[in-house]
Amino acid sequence: MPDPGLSGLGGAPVRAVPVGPVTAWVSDVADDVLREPNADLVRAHDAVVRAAMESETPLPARFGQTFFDDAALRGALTGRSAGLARGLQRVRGAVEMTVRALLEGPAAPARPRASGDVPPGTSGRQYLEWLRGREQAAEARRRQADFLHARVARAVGELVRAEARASAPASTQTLTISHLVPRDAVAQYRGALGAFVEREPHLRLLVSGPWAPYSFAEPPDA
Amino acid sequence: MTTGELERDERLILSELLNHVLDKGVVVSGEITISVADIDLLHAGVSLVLSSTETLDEARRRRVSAGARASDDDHVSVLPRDT
Repeated sequence: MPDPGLSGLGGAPVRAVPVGPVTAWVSDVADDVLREPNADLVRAHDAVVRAAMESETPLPARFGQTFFDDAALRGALTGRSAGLARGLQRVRGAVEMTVRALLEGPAAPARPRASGDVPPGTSGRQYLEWLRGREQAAEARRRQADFLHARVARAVGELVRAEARASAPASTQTLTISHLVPRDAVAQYRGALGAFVEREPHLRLLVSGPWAPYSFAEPPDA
Repeated sequence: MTTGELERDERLILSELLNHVLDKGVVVSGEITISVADIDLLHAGVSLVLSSTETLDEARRRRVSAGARASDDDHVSVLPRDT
């Protein structure tokens, strides 16, 4: 149950709306609050999710979802409550840790949208070579990401309960993997990644967390 | 550490937050107000930080000494840490 002093977006109190086996934490929000979203609203959302984490790991909702009233919320949740209850079971006692790694080499060029991407005066043959070069760069990056992914997976090994690799566009040059880690294994997890980068001095990793399990909130097959 | 670096680290922390809160999580409503078109840009920002040689440690020490919440501590770290 939310603490009576807990407030949500715009400062309204957070209250509980039970729907079958699950309970939604909600707060009333004026129509215009979300019209111009800003970082403080996002922080307020995450603060409520973190407050929930203090008692039990929740399934965090994506930011910005509104319902006309509690009845509309119940209607939207009713058909999904059994699946959400299974989701809660899956994340029980765990938090999300996210690791990002930089891929090496030039970014794979973006998919051509218009002929404007091709330098003027390019012949048909040059164009085909250019296309092939782009495909090869993208393929090399995919292979590198897969290779790095496998090594990160080996480094964290049995410490993680599940993993989710984000499908970042090839042009971003980062590999992002989120791990579902038992709360009592977070320090060991950080230690394992620290030891990993010591063995791989060319690597730099960004590790963030603990988060609520944002990347594990939807069923794996969704 | 300069103000610019401190701001960059704050941006990085914010970028991690936005990547989680805006792009992930349970969706039960068809009405999501927020567009996540900027998420790709956030990823690109992380790339820039990872390719630089600086770390977040100094920014974190500053925040802690300035009385920031303890939960901010260690929330985002770049490995390996420079000593």
